[in-house]
Amino acid sequence: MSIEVQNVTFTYQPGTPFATTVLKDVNVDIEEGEFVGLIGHTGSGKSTLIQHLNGLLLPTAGRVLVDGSDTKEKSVRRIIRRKVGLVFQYPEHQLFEETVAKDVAFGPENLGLAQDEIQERVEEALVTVGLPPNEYAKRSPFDLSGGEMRRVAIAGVLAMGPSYLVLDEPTAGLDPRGRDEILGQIAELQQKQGLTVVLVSHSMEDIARLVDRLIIMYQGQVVATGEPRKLFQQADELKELGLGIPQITEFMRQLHQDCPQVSTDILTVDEAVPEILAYLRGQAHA
Amino acid sequence: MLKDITLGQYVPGNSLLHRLDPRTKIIGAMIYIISLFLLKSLVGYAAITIFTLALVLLSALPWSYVLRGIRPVFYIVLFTLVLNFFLTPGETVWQLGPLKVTDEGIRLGIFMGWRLLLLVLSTSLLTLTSSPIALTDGIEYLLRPFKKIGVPAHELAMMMTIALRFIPTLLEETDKIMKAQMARGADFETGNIVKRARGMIPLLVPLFVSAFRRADELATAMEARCYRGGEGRTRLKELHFAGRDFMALAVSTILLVLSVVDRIVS
Repeated sequence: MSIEVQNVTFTYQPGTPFATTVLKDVNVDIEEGEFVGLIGHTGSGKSTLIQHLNGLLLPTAGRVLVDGSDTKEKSVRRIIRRKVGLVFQYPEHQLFEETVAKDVAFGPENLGLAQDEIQERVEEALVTVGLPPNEYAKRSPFDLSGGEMRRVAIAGVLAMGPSYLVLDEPTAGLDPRGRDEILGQIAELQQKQGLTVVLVSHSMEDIARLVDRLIIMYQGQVVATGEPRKLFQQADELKELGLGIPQITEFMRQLHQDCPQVSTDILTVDEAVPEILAYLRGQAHA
Repeated sequence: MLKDITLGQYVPGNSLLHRLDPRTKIIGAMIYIISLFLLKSLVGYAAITIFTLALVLLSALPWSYVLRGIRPVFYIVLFTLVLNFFLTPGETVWQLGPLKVTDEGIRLGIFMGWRLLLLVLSTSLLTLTSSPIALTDGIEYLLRPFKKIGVPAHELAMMMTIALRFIPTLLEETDKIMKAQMARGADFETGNIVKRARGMIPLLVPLFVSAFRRADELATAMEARCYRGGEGRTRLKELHFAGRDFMALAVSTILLVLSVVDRIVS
C-alpha cells in the first residue's frame, strides 16, 4: 500500500499566455506508515504536487497511483479522496457550519455514514486534535481563536478516517506554542495510529526533527530525498536551493570548524547539550 | 471552468493598442459600439468585421486567447439566433408545427448574433490591453465633467479599481475553498438543482466570510495610509494624449461617420 507519483508533469492554464509548467517529471513514492516531509522554497511546486495525491489536480503527463488505483479513473476518485486526507494551507478558511460538531461532521456525512458512526468519529477527531467535545462541539467555529479554528479544520479531515494525511503548512501564521501543539499532535497520530503523514513546509526548523524522510523540491522538480540527518550534511547545497538547515545544526557545524571532535549530526537542542558537555569534559581531562 | 473567464483579464504587452491612452480606448470602444448598432448593410458588417480583426492583429495577442473570451457568450448568441429565427414575421421558409422560420428572421438573427460576437470581442480587447488601473483612471477623467452635477467620479473609480482588483483574488479563493471541500467529499457537479444549491453552502459561507474580512482589512490599510478621498489627490502616472491617440480618435470618428452614411443609404 503506497502512493506512487510516476513521471508527473503539470502545466497550469495550458494554451494561454499564462501557461506555466509547475511540475516537471516528478517521481515520488510514499510508503505506508511513513512520516514524510515535503520541503521547498516558495513556488517550488509543493502545493501543486500534494493536490495530485488525492486527484484534485490531474497530471498533464504521467500518473499518480493511490494503493494501485490511478487518480485519473473517475470511478475510484471518491475512494481516493477518502483515503488521502488533504489539509490545505490556512484550513480554517473552509469552516462554514453553525457549530464545531456540524462542521467536523461534513466529511463523514458526505461519505454517507450512519448518524451514530458520524457522532463517534466527530468526537474522536475532536479529542485527537485536543479540543474536548463537551466543551467545543456546540460552539460556533467563528468564535474560536485562530489556532482552535485550524484544529477544528484538521479534525474535519481526520473524521473522514484517511489512511494518508497530507498537511500543507499546518503551522503557518501560528505562534510557537500553537505550532508545537499541532506538530506534536500530528507526530502522535502518526506513531499511535500508524497513519502515513506527509508534512509540507518551507521551514527545516519545524519538520527536520519529526520526519523519517525528506523530499526536497526546487523549481518543480524533486532534487533530493533521504533522511534529514544525511541531507543536512550537505548544508551548502541546501542553501543554494533557498533552504536553510535547523539553527542548532548550523551552530554545531560552525562549532565543528573550531573543535573538530564535535559531531555535526545534531537536529535538536536536546541532542546538542550532551554532545557539547561530552566535548567539554573531554577538554577538561586532557 | 473558472479559468475560462477572461473578462477583465489584462495581458501585459507593448503593442500599439496597449500603449494607447485608456481614455482613447474607452471613447473608441464607445464609438465602436454605437457604429455597430448603426450599421445595417452587409457591406457595412463585412467592413467592421475586417476592422475588428485588424484590431486583434494590432493587439499582438494570441488569437486562441482572444477567441476564448467569446466562448462564454456562445449560448447567448445561440439564443438570439433561435428567437429571431422563429419570432420575426416575414416569408415562411421552413415550418415545424406551429413554429415558422422566416427569411427576415434568418437575416435578422444572423446580424444580431454577429453583432453580439463583435461587441464582446471588441470590449474584451479593451480589457485585455489595458490594466485595470489605467482603465479606472481613464473613467475617472472622463467622468470629471459630471462632478458638477454631483457624480462622485473619484469614488466610483476607486470602487471599480477595488472591484476589479479583487476579481482574481476571489476566483482564486473560490477555487481553493472548492478544493478544500472536495477533499472532504463535497460534490459540486452532480445531483438535481436543489441538491446542487444546497451543495453551494459550504462554498459560499467561507467565501463571504473571507470577502468581508478582506474588505475590513483593506479599509483599515487605506485609513492607516491616510486615504481621504479624491480631494487634492495627485497621481503617480499622469495620463497624456500622444500622436497615436489623436490618430486613433480620428479613425474612430471616420468609423462613426461611415456607419451613419451606411444607415442612411440602406
